[in-house]
Amino acid sequence: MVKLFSSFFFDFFSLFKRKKKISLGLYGPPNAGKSTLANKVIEDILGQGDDIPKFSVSNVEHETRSVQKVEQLELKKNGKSLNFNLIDTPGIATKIDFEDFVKKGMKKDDARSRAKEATQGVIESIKWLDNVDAVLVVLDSTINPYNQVNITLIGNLVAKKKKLIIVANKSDLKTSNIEKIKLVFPEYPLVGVSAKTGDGVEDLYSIIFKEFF
Amino acid sequence: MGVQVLSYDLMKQMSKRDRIGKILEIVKNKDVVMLEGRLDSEEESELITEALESVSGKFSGIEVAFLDSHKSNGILEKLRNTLLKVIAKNRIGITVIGPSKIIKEIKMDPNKLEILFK
Repeated sequence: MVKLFSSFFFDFFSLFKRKKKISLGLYGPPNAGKSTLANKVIEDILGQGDDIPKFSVSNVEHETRSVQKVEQLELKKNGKSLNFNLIDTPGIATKIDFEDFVKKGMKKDDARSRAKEATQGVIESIKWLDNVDAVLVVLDSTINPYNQVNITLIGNLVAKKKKLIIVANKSDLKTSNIEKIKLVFPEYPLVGVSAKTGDGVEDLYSIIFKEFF
Repeated sequence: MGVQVLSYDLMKQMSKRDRIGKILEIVKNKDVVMLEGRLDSEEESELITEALESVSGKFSGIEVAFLDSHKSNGILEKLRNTLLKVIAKNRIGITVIGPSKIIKEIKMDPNKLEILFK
């Protein structure tokens, strides 16, 4: 009886002790601003400084060529807190041609090596889908979202029963069209942000708590 | 360059592995594949992964697009098409897959696909 009683109390209190911790993945096509958004989230939580992790960003596609992770982040909002590991992934693409990098001014050998790494990165990214609990699908809102890569990615997340939020990034740019993304993917929660200026990022945090908490 | 049109029944007879292998074999030979229906999302990502694993100097991956011939806006139409999709499964629509060395882009629209060659 004593054993049963203590077991009940152990379970009861462990419910309060247990903190929800998720692996939050940033997925999307190349150059959508995943790493910029990851840096913004990290900065908002940990602040700035030399010891704060920061991902490399670039205008040239496939700057992120391997899955990167920052562990044990805690997002707090309105008295709630969400513990998570942030996973930044290489942009998903169906093709990688080293000649595209040459056209952007790279030497042939560097372009070949970048293409090879980028290819491995996309494959790794797709395989990592099984390791994330929830996903921010980051799309460039200046580009037509109706393409097979986005449809396949979201289809995969739904098939794998992953929770997702669509983040329409680059809202600060004149050609941004968040409504178009809403029209193409009306079934999913969506938020417009500018990872660069920070505009809309607080709204993103509210939706993260609503959808993932 | 040629275009090979494959029926849903032909694809259905094959295992998933064979389906992906067949598509890649055609695409690597610089032909375009048109499938009746669509691959499921898991197959699509396996196709992308395997295509990328084959990337070399001569082959840089694929362009893929799907035309859903039963997109609808009205409630009744949606209901009808949902029912049709349940019955026909992945038979509805057309999938186009081609080598990205030849195809620059496939512009997708709910009602048409525009294939732009290099």
